[in-house]
Amino acid sequence: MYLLLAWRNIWRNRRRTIITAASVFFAVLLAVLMRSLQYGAYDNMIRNAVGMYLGYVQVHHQGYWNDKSLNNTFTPDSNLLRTLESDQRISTVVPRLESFALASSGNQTKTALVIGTDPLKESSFTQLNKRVTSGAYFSAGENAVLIGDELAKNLKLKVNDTLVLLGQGYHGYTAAGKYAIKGLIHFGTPDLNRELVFIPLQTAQQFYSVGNRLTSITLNLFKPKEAESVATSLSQKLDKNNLEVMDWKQMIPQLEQLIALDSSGGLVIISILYLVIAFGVFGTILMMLAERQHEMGILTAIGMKPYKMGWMIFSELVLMVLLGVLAGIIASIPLVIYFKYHPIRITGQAAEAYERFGLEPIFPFSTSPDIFISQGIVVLIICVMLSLHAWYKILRIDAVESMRV
Amino acid sequence: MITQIAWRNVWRNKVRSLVVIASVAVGIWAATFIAAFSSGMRHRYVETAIHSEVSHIQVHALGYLDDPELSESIPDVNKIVSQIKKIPEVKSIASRLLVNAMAATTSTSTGVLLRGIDTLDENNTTGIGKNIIEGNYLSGATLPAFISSELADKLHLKLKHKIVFTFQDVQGNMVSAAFRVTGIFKMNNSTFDLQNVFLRDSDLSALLKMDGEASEIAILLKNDKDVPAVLSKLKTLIPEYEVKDWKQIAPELALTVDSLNETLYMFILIIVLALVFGIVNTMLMAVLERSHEIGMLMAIGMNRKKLFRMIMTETFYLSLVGTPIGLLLAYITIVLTGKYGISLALFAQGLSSYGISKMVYPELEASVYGVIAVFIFTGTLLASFYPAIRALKLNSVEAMRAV
Repeated sequence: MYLLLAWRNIWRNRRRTIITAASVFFAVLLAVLMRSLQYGAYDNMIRNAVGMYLGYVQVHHQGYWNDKSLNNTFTPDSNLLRTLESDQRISTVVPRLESFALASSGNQTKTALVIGTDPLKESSFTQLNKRVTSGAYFSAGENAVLIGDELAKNLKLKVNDTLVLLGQGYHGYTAAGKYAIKGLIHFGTPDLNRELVFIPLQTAQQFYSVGNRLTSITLNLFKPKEAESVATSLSQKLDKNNLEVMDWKQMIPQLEQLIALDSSGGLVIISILYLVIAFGVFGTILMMLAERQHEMGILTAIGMKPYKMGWMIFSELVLMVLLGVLAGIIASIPLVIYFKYHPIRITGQAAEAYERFGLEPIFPFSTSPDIFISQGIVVLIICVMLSLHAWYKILRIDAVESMRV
Repeated sequence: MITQIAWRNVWRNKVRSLVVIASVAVGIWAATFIAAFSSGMRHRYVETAIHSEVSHIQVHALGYLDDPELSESIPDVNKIVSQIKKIPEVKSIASRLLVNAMAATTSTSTGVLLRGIDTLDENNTTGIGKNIIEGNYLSGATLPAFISSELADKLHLKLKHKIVFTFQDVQGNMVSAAFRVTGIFKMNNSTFDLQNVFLRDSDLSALLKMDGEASEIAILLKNDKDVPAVLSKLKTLIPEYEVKDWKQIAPELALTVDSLNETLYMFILIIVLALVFGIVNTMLMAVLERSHEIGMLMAIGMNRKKLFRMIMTETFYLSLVGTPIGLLLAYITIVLTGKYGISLALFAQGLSSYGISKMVYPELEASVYGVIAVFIFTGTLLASFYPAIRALKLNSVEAMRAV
């Protein structure tokens, strides 16, 4: 009965209904945009930090992460490779062999991080090929290296010059080799430019005399969110005594902490948005009540109980709010999806900073489905609470006073 | 005339006016507070790094940053330091000798960066002494060493144990010297902790056969804002050296700050939008509620231009009252939270275990208050455009019929 009355009432004055629903609609839209922007920023932080080199999950010899030595390497057996290749969640599998060595030329010597990797897989994961600033990208099995541009400058080397690498190989073997510089690469961080040397995997394995051994297998995933579950399921499948599987949270816990901190700050900011939203909706509701004073006065005068009228108005409000929330969710989906694929570009100083790091200067939006639902629910709860206030106001209505308006 | 009617109209229906005034005030409060809060968040990231590691400005010999070698050091440090000290914005200066070394104990060895420091200056600049968890800062023993707990664990070292550093002196000869661990520190940055060892600069320079030279001069300013000014002063004062600010020394820190800034603009934009929509809706209700009255005014001959002006003037008054209230509220909130801080632990569980500061102290430059106030004030006026136009479209006869 009241629901029917409420339903009819909201269509009696369409203009008013549309205004009230619109205020809720915009509330949901903006809350979704805000949260989606925040989550998008975290996803981006992870992608930038992890996708640049580290990978979402890595497989090492047991104990390697705490003691990064060539003695903690492993030979990948066919079972391991088959497991990794057949996992549908993994997009790229990059085998690597990394260790420190001395890089020298003439009488100049610098320490360098020598990374042996599969050229094709590396470029499909980290886009290493795009970092080449002069010369060319290398290919598998070549006796050639890519070195950081700062390192080249410090060693006074150019493309096609020869770089001498000296170091300690597997079980103390002396490692020494001469390699042609195929290209120079540039990273955003000066430290990396000063010490990185990339070398094809097989060449690195010969240099360090490790046979077929690797220090790590780095995995890139289709869905970054699955890092933890991939790591757990892999470590159950693989030989625990020999291998350790770590996700990025275990490898760089600082990043997760940073995100947790930032996201708690984001919560403060969105709470303030809720407050502004609540005020907007509250204003609209108050106006609606004021506008209908006369009508409510008459209803009271002809004998409608205030609590029944309150129930009626409350139902009206809830119907309008539901309408607004649904419309808001539906409208925000295409909007956020649009921004995900056509992200807002950052300009000015910040853009330069991003580009120096080889990052794309964009604001990505997250389209995680729980954002839409959770923001819709939060706005719904806020609006229902505001509607309860309207009910309370009606309970105290004075028929004579109201009719005079 | 119109202004007077508008002013009276504002106070005729108090509830309606208060709702709009409150919306404007809350909007201004929210935008200002978010700006201050974000600024506090950003400050926390940067402040820790500046005050414990990077400092505001660093001076090196030309070429040192490209190729950190002892040969690229700053001769006659004392002269430069006393020159820099004359700059009034400078709070403290620390000069350091930096040299790579192998650190060895009886059981194991690792590569470290030795930092030869003036104990007092370094403590004033980076507050390293605050991070002591065991023993004392560099003191007591001959050849004391101050190492991190992470390094101590890695090398299986305890207080008073010996540690041997091997490095090249300025002439290229290998030098080995045994130091004694007098203190153990722990900072929030484990990479830094693992790689750095603090020694007295007098001890280190004697071993390196150097005198009065430094690899690096770190300058801490009294105020973050003075960085560009001091930077250009230094560039003219000591043009023969490389003078860089923290953004150039630690580009990754600059990236964090810049991206936080950008996100902040987006957030404030969203808040302003939320406010504008709120006001459009409230004003629309307010105007349409007054259909009867507006119809009457038109019927007795008020022209549309004047009507439009009347409604706009009303909004103007409403924002005029709301703006200072919002600014005042924001100011009080920012001063209070800036003093006592906001604990993020309220918003994220388990944060306290991380060891990074979870307190945020909102802060805001005076000029930003003005910018936000103007921004929202204009936003409100723009927001009342549509309702005012809607009012003009009312048909006087139809409108008067409405209750």
